[in-house]
Parts: sequence; C-alpha cells; structure tokens
Amino acid sequence: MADSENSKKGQYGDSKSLEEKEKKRKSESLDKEGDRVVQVEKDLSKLKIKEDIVPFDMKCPICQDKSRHPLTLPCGHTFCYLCIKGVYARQKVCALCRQAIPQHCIVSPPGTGEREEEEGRKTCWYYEAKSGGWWEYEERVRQELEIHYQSLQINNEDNQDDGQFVIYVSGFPYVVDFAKMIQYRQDKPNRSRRIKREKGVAEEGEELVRGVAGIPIAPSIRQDDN
Amino acid sequence: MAGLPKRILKETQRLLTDPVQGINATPDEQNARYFHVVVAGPKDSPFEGGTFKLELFLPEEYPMAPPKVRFMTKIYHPNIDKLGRICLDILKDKWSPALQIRTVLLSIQALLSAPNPDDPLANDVADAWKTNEHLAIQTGEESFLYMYFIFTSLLYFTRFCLLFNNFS
Ligand SMILES: [Zn+2]
Ligand SMILES: [Zn+2]
Repeated sequence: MADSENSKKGQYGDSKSLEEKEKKRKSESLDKEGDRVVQVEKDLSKLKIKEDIVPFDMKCPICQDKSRHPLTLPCGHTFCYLCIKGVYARQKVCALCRQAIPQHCIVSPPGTGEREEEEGRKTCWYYEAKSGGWWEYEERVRQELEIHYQSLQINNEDNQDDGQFVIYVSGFPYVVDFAKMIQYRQDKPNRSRRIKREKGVAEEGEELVRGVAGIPIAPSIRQDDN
Repeated sequence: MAGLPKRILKETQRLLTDPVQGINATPDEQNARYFHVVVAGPKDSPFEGGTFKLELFLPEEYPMAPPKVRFMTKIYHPNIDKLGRICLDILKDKWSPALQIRTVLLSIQALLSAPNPDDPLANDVADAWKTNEHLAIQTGEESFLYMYFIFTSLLYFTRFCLLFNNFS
C-alpha cells in the first residue's frame, strides 16, 4: 500500500510540474491553435486528478466521482441527481440496495440546483426548459460541451465537421448540433430543444435560469436573488 | 474526441495498478472500451490450473448498462454456452451501475467455482461497493471479498460436482 500511495503522490506531483511546463509552453506558442485543444484537455485532466481525493461518503457509487447535486433516496443512499435519474429511467430501483425509487424523488427533486463554484469559469451553457426559461447544464456536461465547441472553432477551417456530436447524459445519447444550436435525445429527434452558450457567468435568477439539469434552485435562494 | 468517461479511466487505472488476484484485465490498444481478460481457474475447482481468456466490452451506456462479457476459451460449464456466453444475472436484469469491471470479473471467477449461484453481488451491491472502496484505501487488496467468494464456492462445491457430471 505504501508503494501505491507513493505512486499516487508521484502522479500528483508530476501533474503539478506538468502544469507549470504547460503554462510556459502556452505563453510561448499562444498562436498555435492545436495547442489550445491540448490545453483544454490538460485543464480537464488536472481537474480530474484534484477531484480524486473525494471522501468515500461524498462519492457517488455510480460515476465514482464527487456527488453532483446529490439526491438521497428514502433508503438513505445518495447519488448524483443525473446518475440516479439514469437508473430510474431503466430499473427504478436503488443501485445499492434495490429498493424501489419513488417517482416523486426524480420528478420533483428538492431544490439543490444551485450552481457550483468553479474557478476560472468563462462560459455558461443552457438548454431550453419545457415550460419556459432555461436550465443550466450539469457541470460535467457543460465542460464536455465547451471542449467540443472549442475544438469545432479550431477545426472549422478544414470544414470536415458538421457541428454535430453525441454526448451521454444519464446513460442516454443526446445529439448536440452547434450549427442549429439545438439538442435532442438520439431516439427522439423531433423533440429538440434550443441550447445557448453565454460568455461570462450570469447571476442566478437572471434570464429565467431555473436551476441546473432539471433541478430547481431552492425557493429560499431564489427569493434572496430577487 | 469525447474521450473516456472518468469512471472508465479510473477503473482501468486500478485494474492495472492493483489487479485482482487470479484475474488479469488489459485494455485493448486500439479500443479502450475493449478488455482482454485472463482468469485463472479458481483453487479447489475443476478448473484449477487452467487459464481462461475472456473478452469484455463496455458499451457507450456503461455503467447504466452492463459490460458485455464472453469466454473466448472453450469451457464446459452449466452456465456458459458453446459461444462462451455467460448466464449470470448481474450481467442481465440484476445489473447495477454500482458494480464495476472488477466486481463482475470476481463474480465470473466465483461462477467457475460455484455454478448457478444466487449471485452474492446481485443481493449485496452495497456491501461490494463498500468493501471494494475501503479495501482499496486500507490494504489495496481484495482479500476479504476473495475469501467470501471462496467460502461461497465451497458451499456450492458439492452441488456443482453433481451438475457438472450431468452436463458433460
Ligand atoms: Zn454520480
Ligand atoms: Zn438504497
């Protein structure tokens, strides 16, 4: 075990020195657009390494990452909202103890749709809510969208890309179309929703942002914002 | 471009750095969702001394959908058909996204010792998750889980001999 601990530390240390090297390299060749893609990916992998130190009781057993917008079921087991939503869509039982998941847990989750703090964040990604307004994408989906978006900007000159790609949310494939700025579940192409990308981080409650990934902002917080 | 989900990266990393006793799983060089697996025949089973090749594939829906696993080595076993397909409930309707590649492979290894068990993982996903995580932190070994499987193996051993004789 001592060995594996050391090797973990080693990896972490390496990634830090890599980070510095990468910064140097970045300042030297900012014009090279290819490097920007590399940079985005490196940024993401740095995030991943940092998050690895997640205490067991904060870890989602499904994605094995820190629980995002955690939802605790009546049986007492906690998962990310989007993770357990994916399970509900398929098996309708808790992934750990197989107790039935009551519908209301998924359909009307408690208000934990607050945006997570994130350093250095520059853009917001939203999708249209069914009944008006916008939902912000969940953090991990948003990061993936941004990477795709930036790589598309870079590759645009070659014009090989049609601006469409597939992301998996709750285990379901969604087609995202940057040319039309829409998304739809791959098996339901006629139910598309608009999406939008905005620079800067809008205040919560602005522009009818209702929450994150279908989870409303807690009512009390919304009042504060107003 | 999308890359592998973090969970798959972490599982792969741990399979390589902290392998399960008697199980070797290596990702394919071309396709990181495809694993070449070698399972050693469990001790005190008719398969002791043998090595069995399997293929394991993680579909895009993984972990919401189970991995697809198949024996490549021909094997005579009541729960494995001629094409190497495995009859194991956690690979079908009893799949839980809290199970992992390593727990699935442990389960298959246990199946070699004890055909047709009520798979312990199907009933105790929560324990497997806890055990798996805590052992990873404390000792980096699966010894407890492994002993548990050996124990269940022994329980089913007598029954297995009968079944196995009938089958062949
Ligand atoms: Zn999760
Ligand atoms: Zn539960």
